[in-house]
Amino acid sequence: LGVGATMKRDKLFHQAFLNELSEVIENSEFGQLMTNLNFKQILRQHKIKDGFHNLYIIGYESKQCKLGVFYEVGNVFFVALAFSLSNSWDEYKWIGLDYLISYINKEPITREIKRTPGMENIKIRLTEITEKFIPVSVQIVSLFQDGEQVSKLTELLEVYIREDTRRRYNLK
Amino acid sequence: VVLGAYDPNGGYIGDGVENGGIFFDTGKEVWDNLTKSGLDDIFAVNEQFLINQLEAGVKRIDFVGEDIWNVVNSPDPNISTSFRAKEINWLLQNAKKYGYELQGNSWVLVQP
Repeated sequence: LGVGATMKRDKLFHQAFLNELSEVIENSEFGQLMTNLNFKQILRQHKIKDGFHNLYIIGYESKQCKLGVFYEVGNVFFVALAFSLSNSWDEYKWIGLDYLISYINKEPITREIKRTPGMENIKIRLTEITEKFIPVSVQIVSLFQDGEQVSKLTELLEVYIREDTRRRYNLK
Repeated sequence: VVLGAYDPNGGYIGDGVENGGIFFDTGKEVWDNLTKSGLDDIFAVNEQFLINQLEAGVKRIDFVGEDIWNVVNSPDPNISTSFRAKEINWLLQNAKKYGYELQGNSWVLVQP
């Protein structure tokens, strides 16, 4: 295949994968939760990370709160939130949902490598995320409606993560 | 040994090439094959590289381009779940038992 044909084939492949990922999310409890929280899906994007890693992003929005579902093939599947008035998804300062939930529940941060090869494991991970997210979802989303609030939250979360790192590795 | 972020304009690979350091680069072809293989722990490849270097008693492992704490303590999972963050977390957990001490942004062999 020529370069142009290869690029076209790759683009079609990524588009098909994004559609499949979106469908899995929309048909899951997580998708239902997004609807209940008044989020609308507004983005399906494929990016290259670290030179050659495929990163797929399904983006949601509710007022100024942005929510991204990220899948980096061969690495991780996670959800992150950001507050922004901008429409440029590359500019957002993302905060991991796992970190937010740990912070709110005052639990140790989970840093174990979440292995997610294939769509079946993505579904399992999505279920885990949803179960942890539901009890604190309204609280978390309401925090992301105000820029100042998010700045303060980010500072507190950074302190919390640093303390967790110190404890985890017995650092002074 | 040099670790750090991938950067097409240099990064840790550029640093390693320029200063004669050892570095690990999976490369696109191998990476694509690993992701298609269904292997559920690709980081094991990076981990084995680190084990080999520590067992060989390399004098130091330098993390270049960023402060290690800004990587592992980042609230942004795009950074804190990256392979370079996993390498830092692994070294924080394991380098000591191979005789290495964290000094700034480097792990230095203190007990050969």
